[in-house]
Amino acid sequence: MKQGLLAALFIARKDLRTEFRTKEALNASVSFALVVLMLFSFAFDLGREEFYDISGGLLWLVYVFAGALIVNRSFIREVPNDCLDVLIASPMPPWALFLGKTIASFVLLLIVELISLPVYGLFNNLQWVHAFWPLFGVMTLATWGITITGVAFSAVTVNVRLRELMLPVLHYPLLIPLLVGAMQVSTALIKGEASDIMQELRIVIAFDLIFTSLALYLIEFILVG
Amino acid sequence: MDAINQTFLFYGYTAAWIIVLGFVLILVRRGQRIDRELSRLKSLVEDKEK
Amino acid sequence: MRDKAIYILGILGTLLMIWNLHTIFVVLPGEAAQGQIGKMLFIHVPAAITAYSYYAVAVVCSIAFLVTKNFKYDSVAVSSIEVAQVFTLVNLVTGSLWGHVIWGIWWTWDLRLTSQFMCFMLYLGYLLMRPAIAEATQRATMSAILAIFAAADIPLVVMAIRLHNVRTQHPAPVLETGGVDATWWPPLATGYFVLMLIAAALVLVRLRQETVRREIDSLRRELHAM
Repeated sequence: MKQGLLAALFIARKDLRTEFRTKEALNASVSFALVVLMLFSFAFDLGREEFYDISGGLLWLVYVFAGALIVNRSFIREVPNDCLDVLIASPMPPWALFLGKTIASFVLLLIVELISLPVYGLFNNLQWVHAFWPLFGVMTLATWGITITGVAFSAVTVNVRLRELMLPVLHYPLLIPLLVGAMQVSTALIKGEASDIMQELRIVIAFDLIFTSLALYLIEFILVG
Repeated sequence: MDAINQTFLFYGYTAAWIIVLGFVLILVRRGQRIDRELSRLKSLVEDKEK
Repeated sequence: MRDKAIYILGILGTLLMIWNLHTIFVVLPGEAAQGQIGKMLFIHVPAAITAYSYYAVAVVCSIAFLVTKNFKYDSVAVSSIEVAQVFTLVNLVTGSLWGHVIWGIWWTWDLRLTSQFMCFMLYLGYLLMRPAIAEATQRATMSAILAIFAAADIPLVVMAIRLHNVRTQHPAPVLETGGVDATWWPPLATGYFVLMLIAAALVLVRLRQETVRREIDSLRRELHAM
């Protein structure tokens, strides 16, 4: 168990280091998020008050689009040179490999989110600083849900034709409950009406717990067969 | 009101059966296709064995 | 043997259905508040329950496949999901037509409509992914994983939307409240039984195709080896 966790951290460090050397996925994801943010300002012509009502929803749309670009790379980057086969054949348990990859994607997506949040606030005249820490908490929880399912599907679709197309088709419908919850909570936090967000938050947490355990349990079937 | 009610009830049941029928047709066509493929492969195997 | 079963199920289902349609359209009067359109219930609700029954079969078979690696379970799972999709579509379309009359709109994002639509989308992904995986074992394994994920997601979808949208315009579900006239129960139950029979026949047809497909795969390998 402890060895597995260490191996997971090792994999996460390896993935993050490769990513930070090239910054391929990170750059693409951040610039994509910015483009989507800009498009929103053309798509909606709303008053300031009205914008607050949909602020959380839009925020998570940006995040989930950016997330697709990041989790997409997670397992596919190991396909050239048969790296994936080597990793699976290594003594580390499959769940550790999977957990490590999830942690790496999680950190990357969180970085993208932290970059785009101020830009989002700036573009739309949104006051969000007062709610930063609770918002950060929601972002952490929901981003974990996005990455753990996304990386699991990334592993599922490694051998699928047109996998870049297939991943969002499979991933987004699954994310609906998580996103509904995260959007509600974020809107309430930005508007400063965070009185009864516990129920929505519970769904986000339930999603995290259910899919983390399910994915960690099933990953052996996905990777080893 | 009752007339439009009847009409849409009719549409509903018709749509339901068209959907099921459409699926049956898809099944039949796919079945024919894979049956053809099977016999084609079988004859190919026999040819090679000779 | 299997062909015979398909015919028997199909004929039995059709005969029962004709008898049931006679009860629905000729014997029963219209619903008190909705008039004739209320009778949409007899196809709408059985279709939904039939779909859910076969989704349940699919998830059980998917787990069974992961445990046993027996391809029979994979075939049953994919056949059930495909047939269940058809009945989900029937459920959505009949509901939409009913909504057009009673609500004046084709669609609304209320709890049941949304969750049913999500269900459809989740399993649509399943059906789209299958042909994109070439290797049989891998295809079966990944499909089973996907089916399990989808099944775990459905209760969460329902929970999330229930919170999001408390006021639902959907009539109280018959099964939870029992709020229909006693004369409506027999045709409703028969409707479900009829659709289950027809769905079973369709699953069997689809199952045969999966068997043929596996045969084709092995023949291809044989040819390749030569």
